[in-house]
Amino acid sequence: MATREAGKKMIMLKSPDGMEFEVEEAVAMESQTIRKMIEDDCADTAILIPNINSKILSRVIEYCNKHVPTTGATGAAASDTVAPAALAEDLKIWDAEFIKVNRATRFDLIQAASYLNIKGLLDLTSQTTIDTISDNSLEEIRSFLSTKNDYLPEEEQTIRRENQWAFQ
Amino acid sequence: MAILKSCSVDSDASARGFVPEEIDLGDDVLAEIILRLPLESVARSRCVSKNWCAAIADGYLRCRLPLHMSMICFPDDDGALGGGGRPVYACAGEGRRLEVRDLSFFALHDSVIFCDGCNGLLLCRAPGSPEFYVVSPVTRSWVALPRPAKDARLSVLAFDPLGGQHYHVINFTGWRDRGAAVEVFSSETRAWAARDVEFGGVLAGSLSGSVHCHGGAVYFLASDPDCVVRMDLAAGAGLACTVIDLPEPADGDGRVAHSGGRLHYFCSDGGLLKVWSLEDDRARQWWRLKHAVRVSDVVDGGGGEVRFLAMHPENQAVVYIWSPWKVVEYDLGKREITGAAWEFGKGARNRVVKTWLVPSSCYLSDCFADDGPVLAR
Repeated sequence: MATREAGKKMIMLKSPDGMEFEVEEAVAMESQTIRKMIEDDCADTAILIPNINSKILSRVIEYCNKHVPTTGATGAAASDTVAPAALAEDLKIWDAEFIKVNRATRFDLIQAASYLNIKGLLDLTSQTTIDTISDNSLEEIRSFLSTKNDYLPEEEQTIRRENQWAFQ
Repeated sequence: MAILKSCSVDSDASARGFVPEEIDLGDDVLAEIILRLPLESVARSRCVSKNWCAAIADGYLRCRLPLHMSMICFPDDDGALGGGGRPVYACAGEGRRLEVRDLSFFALHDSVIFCDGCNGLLLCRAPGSPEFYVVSPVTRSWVALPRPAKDARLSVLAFDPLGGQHYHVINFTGWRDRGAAVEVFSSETRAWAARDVEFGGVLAGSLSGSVHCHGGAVYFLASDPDCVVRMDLAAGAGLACTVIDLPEPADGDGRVAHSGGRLHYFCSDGGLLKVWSLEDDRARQWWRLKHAVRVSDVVDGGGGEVRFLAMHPENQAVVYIWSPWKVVEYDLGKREITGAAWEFGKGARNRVVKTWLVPSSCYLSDCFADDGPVLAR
């Protein structure tokens, strides 16, 4: 294992487009998928992450870096000086900034978070979509999702009637 | 170098970048979004496109959907109104709130007698007449059943949305020593059929009102002898009953439920809450005591009043319990409240008598679809 001066275990994550990212093991383990791999001793020094390009993977790592629990030697000191509520508030602001991306990137992030099983990132990235679906008309939802309405008029009438209760 | 197993989605994220108008949501993204939607939004999004509708109907996704909790409860009589409290129907809503459903869409909701409820449907009867109605409080729809031939002494609603969208109404029209004359309504045939039922040697008078429905059968607890009577609702089974002896008497406070496909039996005995599961191999069946926890460990305070309501349909250690005035999720294995507790609004006091947990999209299968448009009155 590669090590840093702090004695922390490092893991190399590789994207399919050939980029390498060296991250602390604790950061990589924010992903339950990677955590399981490490715990099962299936990971050596590098892990190839297929399907997630370097642009998206770097954003995911950025998120994990920010959200890794600050426990341990250095973390304990940090939480002594900053109240937990202030930390949570800081994270919220950071998250709001982080998620200011275009739709395509957001959907890529949802997919990456789903695949890597990072619950917090999934919640964050899917919230806008959930709000849109919950608060808007069908046409607005379709346009937001770039989904075509492939129902025939009579089919749409039937499915609308069956789910009429949800539109009231 | 280790390689993470490839995910099933044919994502080509980098190529997608320059055609932002044509975002192809992979199945994973679709599933993650649907899983996080409130129930009504799930229903609405069925209308977005065929792809979404198919994704929601998918069995794998359905198993992962959050459970939808609904219940029948009686407002506490201690209030100023004093008695006469009619049952209300409530669902778990956002923020762990139990929200009472407004039944005003059903014009007769003020006058009918609520006979039974099962997995999200209610059975009602007009007072002084044999007119029956089945009401779906979540989808705000209802149907009137054709008139049965005889008056009913007891009416039971059987509906298991995991097993299909058809429901049955079982009217007991006359009791015999160890059997009964019944009329059964099937929503599939839209007709009542008269039958004679034998309870397998069990005294008819000892059947309790604690009825449970699962996978095409209804289960009655009985006390003479102490047993569960399983009544087969399958077409052609003729309501055949089988008797499953209980490991210990119910003392009027027993319940049966299914979890992980197994029948479970709950009883409380001297402050001890016991959970038995029915094990079987091909040759025989036997009860195994799975958990025995002190009631005082489950709820502290509140006068120790607890009522077992339901089991998690998959996780056999997780149960739902009412104690004044909330519903808690309790893990019998870890012997702790999981942190999930649902309450009514400020100061509302309701006794929850029956609770169901069903994956939410099951509600969307329209069990009244065969009945044509809902009658307007």
